Amino acid sequence: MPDVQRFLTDRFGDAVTRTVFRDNVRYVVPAHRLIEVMTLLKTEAGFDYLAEIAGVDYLHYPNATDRYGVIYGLANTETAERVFVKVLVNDPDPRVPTVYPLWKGADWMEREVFDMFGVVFDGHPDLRRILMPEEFTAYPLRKDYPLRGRGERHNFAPVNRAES
Amino acid sequence: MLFADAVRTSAGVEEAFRLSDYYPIFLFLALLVAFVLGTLFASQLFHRLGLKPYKETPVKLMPYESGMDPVGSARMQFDVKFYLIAILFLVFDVELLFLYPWAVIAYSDAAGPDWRGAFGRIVFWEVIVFLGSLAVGYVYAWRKGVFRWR
Amino acid sequence: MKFPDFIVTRLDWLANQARANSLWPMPFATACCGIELMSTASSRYDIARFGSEAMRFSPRQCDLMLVAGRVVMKMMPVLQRIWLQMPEPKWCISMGACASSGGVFDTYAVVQGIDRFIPVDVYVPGCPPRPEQLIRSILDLQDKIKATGTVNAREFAARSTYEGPTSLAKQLAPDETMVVPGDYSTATRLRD
Repeated sequence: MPDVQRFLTDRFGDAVTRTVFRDNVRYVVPAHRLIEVMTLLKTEAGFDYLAEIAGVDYLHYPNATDRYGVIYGLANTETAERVFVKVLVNDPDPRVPTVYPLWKGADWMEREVFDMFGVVFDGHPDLRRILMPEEFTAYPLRKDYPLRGRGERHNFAPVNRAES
Repeated sequence: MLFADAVRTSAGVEEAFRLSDYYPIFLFLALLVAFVLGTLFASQLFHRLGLKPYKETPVKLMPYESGMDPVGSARMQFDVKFYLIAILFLVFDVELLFLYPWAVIAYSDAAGPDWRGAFGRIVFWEVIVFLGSLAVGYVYAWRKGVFRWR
Repeated sequence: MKFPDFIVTRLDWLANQARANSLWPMPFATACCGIELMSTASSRYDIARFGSEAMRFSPRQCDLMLVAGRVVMKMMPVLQRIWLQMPEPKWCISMGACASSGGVFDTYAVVQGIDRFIPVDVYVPGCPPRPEQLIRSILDLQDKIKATGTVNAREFAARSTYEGPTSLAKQLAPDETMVVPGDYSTATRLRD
């Protein structure tokens, strides 16, 4: 773990911020440096497994600076190290470059973050909704979207007994 | 009355062929055909009499594909292993069909002096030759890998 | 052709006996209730002894649709299409809390009861309902068929109005309601 930290601060200096909470280490990276950091982590630090891509909406979070976060959980399958890389983006047009060229597993995970939060991944081969139906227009996991939806779940024509 | 192909058994003379033995088979055939035609006819009859629910809608008539729109043609290529297994089944089923009548009468009076005894001994070996040739074909198919279910 | 009533009632009775005692289910099992449905169909709580001998997965060969499990908005067009593809006479049992009312999932994606979109005959409460409850619901449906069934399914023609719930449990404020394109038909297409 100190190895990775020295690794990243050597190459990127101030662009990468390291925060620690108990034994969970996070590196906050600006969106335009993401691909460099990820390529480095995959090829030289040995993080060959992309375990998770998560999206966060910091709308009502105390002391939040940006609205959306996209968090990549990487794992090293040989040393069982884990590291989390966080990218923060903001509301008008949240865009993050895709890590699909590095890890093919990012395909559907990025589609899920797009579906739920509306964060667009530049360079993704097939960015469309994965969990909600295609016609859905809102991004459900945003904090300003109500839990019960806005009536989409009942907006479908019923079939009655006589016509079926 | 003596027929041309009457045979002399230990029980006396009997005909070689009796039509009345086959009456159950004809009855079965008649019932089978009656059932098939009868159910088809009854379905139409009930429809004409208004005794059947009938509701044809466009969705009801479309092909079923787990509720999705059908993708692709219904006619598609399938693997040859299905065909091979079906053909082999057919061949050996027909072989069994030949074996049934032989098995029923081959051993009756095999030691007797008349034609039945000769039948028992000579025909037995003929059928063994028949089975042997089919066994050679079976081993050939086996070695060719027909039974390998890829 | 107009038959005398006593013949029609005899035919109704005969058809009801035949149909009620041979309800072949179409298992529309989407979630955990599907597991209970499987266990009801297997040897300990056998539903084959009540006539539900064959679970056919093609709607063309079934007359009872057993919706077991929560149905999401994206699955709704598929459910409706399978319901429409079943031949008459057909009945629907909504098994479990999620199929009957949305269950514990009062969220943006889960339909709050399939009776909003499909005509349902029997509801089974439970999460999941025990096999005995499902067997009871099948027996109740058999009683319903024997009491109200007809040979040419005339009893369905009278049910031409919507039979489901008419209001949301918690009404949305007017500024919160947004109408989206209400035709999730892309759910029934595998490719765009």
